[in-house]
Amino acid sequence: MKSENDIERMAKEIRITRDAVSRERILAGAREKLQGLGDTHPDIWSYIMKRRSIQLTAAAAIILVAVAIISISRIDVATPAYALDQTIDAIKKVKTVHMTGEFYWRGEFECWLQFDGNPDVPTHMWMSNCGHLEGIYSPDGLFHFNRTTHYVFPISQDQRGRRWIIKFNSFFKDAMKAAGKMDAVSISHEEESIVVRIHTPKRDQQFLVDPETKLPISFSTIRDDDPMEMVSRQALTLRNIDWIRYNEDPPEGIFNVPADATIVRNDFDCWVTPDSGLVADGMTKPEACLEIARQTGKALIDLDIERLCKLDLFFLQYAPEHWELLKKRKESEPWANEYVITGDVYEEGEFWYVPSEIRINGDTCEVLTMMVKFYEMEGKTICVIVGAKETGVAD
Amino acid sequence: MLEDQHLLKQLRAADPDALQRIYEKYLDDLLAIAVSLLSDVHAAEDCLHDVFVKLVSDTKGIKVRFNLKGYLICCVANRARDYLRQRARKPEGLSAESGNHVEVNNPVTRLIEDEEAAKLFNAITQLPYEQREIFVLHVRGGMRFPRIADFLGISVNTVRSRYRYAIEKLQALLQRKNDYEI
Repeated sequence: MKSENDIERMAKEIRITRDAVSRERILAGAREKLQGLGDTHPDIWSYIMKRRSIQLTAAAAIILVAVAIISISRIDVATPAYALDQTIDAIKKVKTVHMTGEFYWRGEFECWLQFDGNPDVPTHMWMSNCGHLEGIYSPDGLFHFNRTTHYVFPISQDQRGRRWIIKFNSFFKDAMKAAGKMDAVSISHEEESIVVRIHTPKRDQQFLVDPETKLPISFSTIRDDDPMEMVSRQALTLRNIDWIRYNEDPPEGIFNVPADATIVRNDFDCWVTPDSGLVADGMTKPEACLEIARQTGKALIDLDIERLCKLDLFFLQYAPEHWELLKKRKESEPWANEYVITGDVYEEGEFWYVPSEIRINGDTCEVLTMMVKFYEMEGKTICVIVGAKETGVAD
Repeated sequence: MLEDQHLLKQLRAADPDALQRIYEKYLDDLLAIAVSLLSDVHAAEDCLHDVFVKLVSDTKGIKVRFNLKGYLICCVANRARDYLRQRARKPEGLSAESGNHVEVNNPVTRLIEDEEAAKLFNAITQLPYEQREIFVLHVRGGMRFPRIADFLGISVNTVRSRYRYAIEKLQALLQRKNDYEI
């Protein structure tokens, strides 16, 4: 008589052989359905995994999104004291732009733009959106640069398409094209600025315009009934611009990568700082790998955001909105409650691997082979999780 | 990390590669489960077709934290039950006890290359549906008994006892394998 174990083992090995046509038929309906969904906006979860390189350099969308908001409002051309085309004309003469603000899902940012005659096409751009990491665009190329470590990652030339270019001139110009009715926009003159208010069913936003130069000096979202809609847009979306300054001299060298910068092989190498990961001094590399995997697993179970972001670069991609969403879901749905190392640590190339599983109530819910990389910084050895074998590196 | 979560998010963004990856990752298990439950490969393929369409259609409403496979298996089990109910006749073995030995060589066994596995499959299809469902969900779907109990709305003890009966019956059916040709 066969044992229970034998029966279970045999049952697991049953394979139903089907030809390619039959296998394809199973998926045909889903493919067709998916194609029909292709034009819809992805929801927040699609953004959780959005590539950081796109986030940092999608600055073109900053202005374009704002323009779209204005455009749907059908702005009237002028009030007796002020016409929006005055702003458009003023922007054409701008040499540099310096601004700080807040994205809906990437938090605070700072940006420098430099123009050379064409206000729609900056020759140089610098953007800081994640603390120590900067995006630099110049005639020399496009780079991610870590000013703390002086690590630089050159982004391939084929990514330098038009989506990188901020069409700053279009800030108001496109709005003018849609000029018509006055029911959604109001323009008022206050003591120190002209206030352009845009009212839509879901949100109210306003621009402050300098009455003297006619240049926009700030942008703010006053009311927002559906912030997740903005979070889910394809491009970075602006919540506020605290201030915009014009024709200031950029800090020297801001558009340049320092000569002593170290070119790194991977984009994620730029993300690492001496405070990242786990200090591995006094441990063997396999011991350090096991320890950082265990700590990361525990942090995941506890949803310890600070710890996750420190140990695992992947989580640096999560926006504040996403963390809030995950916190709510952790409270309301089954969540991982066990993290198990399932195999021996091993080394391949520049990475170390830790086979592991995440489980919910004893059920294996995800198999992960953690990818760990070691760095030497400030006289200490640190190890950082840079991805998982199943999903690739964080980028 | 968390590949299933990642795939589901990509799927929500209408990424066809994510659909293909989910399909390739789970098709073998899902097909084996569906065929085991329905004893009919064409019905099983229809079942999976519907499950993948549902996955795409409902993707934004699906609450899958870490276990996409579990979700898909539950969908297959539900769809299989619906299919059997819709056949407008009491499905064989759905509630009644079947015979205690292999009486019919299921044509599906021709699609199973390994002879021993084909014999076992034939035996599985002879189990009463309640036992077969629990056996398949546990062994092939990797679902723990408490999870199966939740899914089926029955007690864990009932799940355990049905599983025990299933094992005993399979042992008995396979014991008599020499009496029957596959």
